[in-house]
Amino acid sequence: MSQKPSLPAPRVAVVDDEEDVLTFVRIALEDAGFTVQALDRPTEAIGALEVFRPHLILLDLLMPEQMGVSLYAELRQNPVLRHVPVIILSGLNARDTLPEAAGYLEKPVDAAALLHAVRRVLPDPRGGTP
Amino acid sequence: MKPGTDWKASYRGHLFEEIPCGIVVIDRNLRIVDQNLAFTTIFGDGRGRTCYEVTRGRRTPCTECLAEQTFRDGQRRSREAVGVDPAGKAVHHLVQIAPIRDETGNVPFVAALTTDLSATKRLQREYQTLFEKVPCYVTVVNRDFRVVKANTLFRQVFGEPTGEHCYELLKRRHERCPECPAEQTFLDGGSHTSSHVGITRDGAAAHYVVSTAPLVQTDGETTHVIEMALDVTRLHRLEAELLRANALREALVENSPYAILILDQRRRVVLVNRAAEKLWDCSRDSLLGHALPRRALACRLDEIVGRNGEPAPLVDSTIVTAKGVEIPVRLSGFTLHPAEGERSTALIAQDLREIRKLEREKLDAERLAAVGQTVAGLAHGIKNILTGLEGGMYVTSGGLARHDEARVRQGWEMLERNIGRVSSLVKNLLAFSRGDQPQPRLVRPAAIVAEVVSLFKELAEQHNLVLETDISDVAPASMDAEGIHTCLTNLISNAFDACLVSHKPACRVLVALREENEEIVFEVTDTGCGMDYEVKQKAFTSFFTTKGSGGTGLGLLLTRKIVQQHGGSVTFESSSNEGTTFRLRFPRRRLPPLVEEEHNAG
Repeated sequence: MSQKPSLPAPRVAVVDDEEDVLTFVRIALEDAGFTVQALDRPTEAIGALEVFRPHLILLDLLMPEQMGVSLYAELRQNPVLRHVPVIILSGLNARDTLPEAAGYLEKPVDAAALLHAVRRVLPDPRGGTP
Repeated sequence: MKPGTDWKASYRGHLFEEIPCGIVVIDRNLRIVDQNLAFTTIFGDGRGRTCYEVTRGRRTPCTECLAEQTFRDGQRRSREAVGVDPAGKAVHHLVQIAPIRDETGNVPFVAALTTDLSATKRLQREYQTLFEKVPCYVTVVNRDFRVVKANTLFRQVFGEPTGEHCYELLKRRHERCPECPAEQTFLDGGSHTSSHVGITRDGAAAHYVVSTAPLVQTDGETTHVIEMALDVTRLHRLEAELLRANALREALVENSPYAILILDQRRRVVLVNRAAEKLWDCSRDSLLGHALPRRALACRLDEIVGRNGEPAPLVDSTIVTAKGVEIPVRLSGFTLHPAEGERSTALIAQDLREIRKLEREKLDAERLAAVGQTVAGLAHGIKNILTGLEGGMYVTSGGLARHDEARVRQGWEMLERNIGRVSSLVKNLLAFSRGDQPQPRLVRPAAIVAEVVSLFKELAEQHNLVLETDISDVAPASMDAEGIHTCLTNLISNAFDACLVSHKPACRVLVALREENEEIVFEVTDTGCGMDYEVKQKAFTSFFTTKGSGGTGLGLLLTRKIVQQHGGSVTFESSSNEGTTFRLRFPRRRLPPLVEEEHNAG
């Protein structure tokens, strides 16, 4: 595998309180060459994200959906994170709730659909077409 | 001395002594030469002293001395005078002076007759005070019905009378009243009383009770009548208000949606309203005057009546109609303590049939709504599980492709876990969706608690949690043991999760059972993570879970359903980071009735 050292792996953060979903997304994206931070506590996510400075955030709207929605609103207000694209990963169709997100993934999601959605926003860390 | 003369002298002397007015004989020097008993009684013995000293306490003669004038001209005189008795008290008396002539016609002595007027004066004053101060309008009218004299109250209200007719002043009439008690008194000389309505100076109606009595009679004919008019306007108004209040009370009682009975001390019905006739399904006449049958009320009267002035407790009980039908009611009562007469008991019954029906309907509606939410939420829950399964397959197949055994194991665990979630979800969902009524049997609540707690002992040890119980002796109750078992399992399981999430070094879970005020209370307290505001709001929402893949979000909902089917309630207190207490309360009187045991097996 030839990877240019000048291009560090894009960083993707995943926020979801479903442990298995988190594990799945993390492993699938790591397999594809991304650097992944998995966060299972939405209330503590902002601080961690400010440090990690992801290129993309995958956000579950969670079941008490206000927690997901309010976290999304917080991200859009945050001076460090406001321009980071967010893909909504949820069991609900979120297009009506959050129309300005960078992408939407409806659960259940498989690895191919996940990578497809991510690559539409971020360059392939292995040099493939975005 | 001849016997006749003796007798005459004797009775004259006797008369002089005994006559009930004071007589004193005075000489020209105004010295008392003789006095009778009555005089002595008033002024003491004054013989040899001057009259002015004895009767007035003076040292010099009075300025206008009647005796001196009579000594001069021999004329009789009289005058009212105020003297002073030996005790220094004023004595009102009428003094009459008569000359005593000798054979030559000179006047060597005068006789002074003193009539004590003190009693008369006092009576006069008292009469005047009574006339003036009596708290009603008192007038004296003549045969023309003109007011010739009026008392203070009358003058204050109607002004000084200047010859007006009584009907002009009291009633603002221009002619005599059709039924005039004064006229009747003028006619028959007797007393008369009647009620009258007049108009006050402000134009308002005034009610009087007027009594008349003859005052002055001359030659058998009454010339003046005393009229006493008592203003009863206020009383009249109170009476009218009382009548209105009574009518209102009767209307309220009669039209109350609650059945009302009043029973005397022998339990005899003295009042029945329409709702009571309807509730007991019998006519008013068949209830009134008869003792309320024992079986008509499932509870005793003293259970309903508030004691020592405390508000009456609301007791859910049943009544039995005249036709033997049992009706669920909410009862309350109170004792009536009249100022006079014996006490009685008021009984108020609210027919609960409609409310019970609504309660059942509401519970069904809640259940259906919950099922609806469940179906909507189900898709979401299953999507998460499917994603978990998808992930499990991805991780497993990746591991297999790379011969990475650790990764295969990780993927396999994900698959197992999510298949387990599907199974528990389906189980809870079925339990919740079943419309089953509880199957109550007489059970010992403490036994259920002990059984559930024993199931968690091992888990507590594994996670280093302290699991304690505080179980009081609670009498057996009609409960669905399996349902209560499910509730406690859910609550203890939640408490364990709250402890494990909190990452505190030593967490405690306390399961308590007690009975207070006829309520069986189960309590599960943990010192775990507690709930914040948002979580508290959603605690009973289906599919709400804070446990990620660990929970189905149905546990509390199912618990509440079971508790409600037992007529109980679920409450909780929680503060973030401090812990949570869930409390199940089961009022005994609301527990479901026992299901009859089958007679014979098979």
